[in-house]
Amino acid sequence: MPGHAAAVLRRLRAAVVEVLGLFVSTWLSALLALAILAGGWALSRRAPGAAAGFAMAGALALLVVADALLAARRV
Amino acid sequence: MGSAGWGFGAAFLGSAVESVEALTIVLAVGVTRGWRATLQGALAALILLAALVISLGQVITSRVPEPVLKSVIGTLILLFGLRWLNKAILRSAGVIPMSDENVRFATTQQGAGIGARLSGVDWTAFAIAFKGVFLEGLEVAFIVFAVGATSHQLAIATAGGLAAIVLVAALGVVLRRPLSQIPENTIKHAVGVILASLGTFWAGEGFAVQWPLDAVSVLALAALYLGAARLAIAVLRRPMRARTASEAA
Repeated sequence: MPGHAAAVLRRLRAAVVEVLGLFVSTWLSALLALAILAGGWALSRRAPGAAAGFAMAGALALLVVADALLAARRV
Repeated sequence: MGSAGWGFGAAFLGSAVESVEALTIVLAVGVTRGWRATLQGALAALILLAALVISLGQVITSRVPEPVLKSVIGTLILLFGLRWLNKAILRSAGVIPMSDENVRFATTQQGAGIGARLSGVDWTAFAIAFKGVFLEGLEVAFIVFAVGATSHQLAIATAGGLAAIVLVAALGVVLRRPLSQIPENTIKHAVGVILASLGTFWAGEGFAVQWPLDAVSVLALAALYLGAARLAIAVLRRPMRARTASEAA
């Protein structure tokens, strides 16, 4: 029975990883994207308007380039 | 074009890409093992996906406050879009191979050849078709749910997703072979740009950012992400060209 439970847990963990894998290319890029969003949120508290939104988008666009270059080096 | 129009576009294009991949699996299993159990498996997966979208959509849109919904769904759809964009950039630059439906067809056919029929029902065909359609469809279900719930246009997003499924299925019935001519990577590239733009727009709205001209700002965001993707492809292609030239010399 413990062996059966371990197998179920393994399958469950694999399923969770597979679903999370739908959202992230790498954990580092996902964490950086979340950090940029958090920065955008903090900036929007100080400077109302569109500046925080476009600053956030600019940083995310740079992340797109950096993420692709890093991924190419890993391949 | 309002965010509902973007939502329809994202759901249609995203669904088209994943439907092409699901169709290849269904065709391979159907040709190898027969159509009855294969189509039953595909239909069961579609029903489960529809139930997920409808139930989640109703519960979440009626219970979660709008700024929270926009922040969370915007963040998730942004991460989703960045992942698609990353893959499309690497494929366009030649870093990783393009998705090949003929190879997928042959591999699935090989796998489907193994396994016996139990008690008259071909569970192997049912399971492979179910798993293929469910896994490919899960991404579409998420896109439909996310863009539909956030823009309060679940019906429009669902219509976009369904229209693509019907179109791809009709093409599959007429051609009876994998749709290898469809420019999957170009569509994936476009969907990645749209999802990243919508995700940024909605997350921004959730954080109380006041976008100029409302949903028209999505166009500016899309131009920004498209520019970044083109830049990444150009930078990645340059050393490859240099390597090819030095090998030829």
